[in-house]
Amino acid sequence: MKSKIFVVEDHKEMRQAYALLINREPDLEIYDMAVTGEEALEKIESDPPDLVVIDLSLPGGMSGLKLIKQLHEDRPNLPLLVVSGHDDVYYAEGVLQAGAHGFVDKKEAPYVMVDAIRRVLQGEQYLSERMRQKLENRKTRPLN
Amino acid sequence: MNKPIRILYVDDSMLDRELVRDVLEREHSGFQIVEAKDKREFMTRLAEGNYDLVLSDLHILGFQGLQVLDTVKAQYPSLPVIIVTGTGTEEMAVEAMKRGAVDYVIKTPHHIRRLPMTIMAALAKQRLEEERRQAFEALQEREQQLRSLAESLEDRVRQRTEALQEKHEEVRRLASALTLAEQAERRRIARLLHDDLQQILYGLRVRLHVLGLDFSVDIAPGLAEHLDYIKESTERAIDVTRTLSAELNPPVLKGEELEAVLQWLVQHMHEAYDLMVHLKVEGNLKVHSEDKRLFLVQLVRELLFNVIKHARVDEAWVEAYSDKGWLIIRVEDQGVGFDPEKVQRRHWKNSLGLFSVRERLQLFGGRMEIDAQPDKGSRITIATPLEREIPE
Repeated sequence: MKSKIFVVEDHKEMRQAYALLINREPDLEIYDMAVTGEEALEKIESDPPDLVVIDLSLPGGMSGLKLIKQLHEDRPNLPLLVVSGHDDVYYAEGVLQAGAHGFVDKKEAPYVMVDAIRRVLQGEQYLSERMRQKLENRKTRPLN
Repeated sequence: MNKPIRILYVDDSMLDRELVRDVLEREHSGFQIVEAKDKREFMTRLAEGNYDLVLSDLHILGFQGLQVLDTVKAQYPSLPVIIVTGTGTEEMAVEAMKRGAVDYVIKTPHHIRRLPMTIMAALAKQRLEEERRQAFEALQEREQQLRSLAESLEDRVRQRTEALQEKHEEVRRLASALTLAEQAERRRIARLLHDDLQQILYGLRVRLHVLGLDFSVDIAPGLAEHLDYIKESTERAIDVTRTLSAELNPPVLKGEELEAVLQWLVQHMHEAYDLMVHLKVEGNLKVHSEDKRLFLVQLVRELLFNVIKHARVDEAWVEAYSDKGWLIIRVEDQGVGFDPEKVQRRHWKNSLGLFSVRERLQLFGGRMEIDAQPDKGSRITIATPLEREIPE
């Protein structure tokens, strides 16, 4: 039985890339997609998937961060994996606090994405090694 | 020959009139006497005008001498009046002088004989009085002219100053509009890079990845090399666009805390340019306007670029604190340094950055201090008013 992955992504190129990347895995499948946060909420409410991949920068009134907060409030157990073109710790911290279970930089190699999906599905928190180090640096950086 | 001195003489005593006329007209030819013996005659003669002086007895039929004086003074304030009397008291004399008589003469032969001198003296006194009055008026007029000149000068200076201030304000508005427009354009380009170009590149990379998985190298020898090359180029393109979009519009600028913004910059300079920056921020410094945050980040970044380009070291120190309403940011290095005098004199091409920093700072009411010496590193301090926002 394949895990059902829902993708929220406003760029056509990326939606196609996710389809190619995920659907070739034996244990994963793209279940549905949405372009905006509002569309995602509506679709997920009627038929929830096993995991949601969310692009942080979304068009329209609902930002990726707002969508994460809303989904987390509605379904605290639904795994949320955030994908972003910004690799700032500032962002990573924000989305983890908002209720996401993982943060992947789009810059990471494509197989990292698949790995991250599997880990979050298993209930782990996912951060790339790079991001984990940055977060550590930020917390321990001396002031002078 | 001088014009005769015209005198209106008011006296009801024929004897006295003759006596006086005798003295004035016969003994001194310079006088011309017009006589009046009562009130009616006096009024008629006075109305004919053109007298140099009025002589008047104190007691006239139907009239009092002092009333003659009052009438003359009422109609011709500057026409001198001399009272001549045979019976007047000292009090009367004082009263006459008070009301404007120029002299008071007792009708004795001695005084009558002296009358021409008395008249000449009265006229001289009158003339002096008149000159003094004219001089005083002229003086007042000049003073008035000077005052209005001074006022109009002040007015003109004020107008010019206002016009200059208006121009200055206009230039400042234009300059800040330009800065804002530049920042808006940067954001627009950053969005284009991030939202369009980068997404295409990410999509391309996923396809390359899938392509690598789907095709076996055995089927097409040499494919792996091409694939690696394309993958590598795509990675580079992604790096370039990410660096560019982050520099054009740092995502961290959404937050108000200066420390977070500077930390982002420090990290960015390290990752993108291998510059190690030591950051020290004192207190919880907040900058409310996003435009100003972007502006400050751009300034500090330019100063750090100067460290990389000119100081030729890979380490710098950034310090931020507030002091008496000013936000102070200091950028230091221990590189080759420079001579600030030389930089300011020569307008070197590569020192343009420093000048544009100073000019843009002035837009925010800020200032910059350069502390540098050849071979002794450099320390640039920028200060902006803490509470002031970017001018709209």
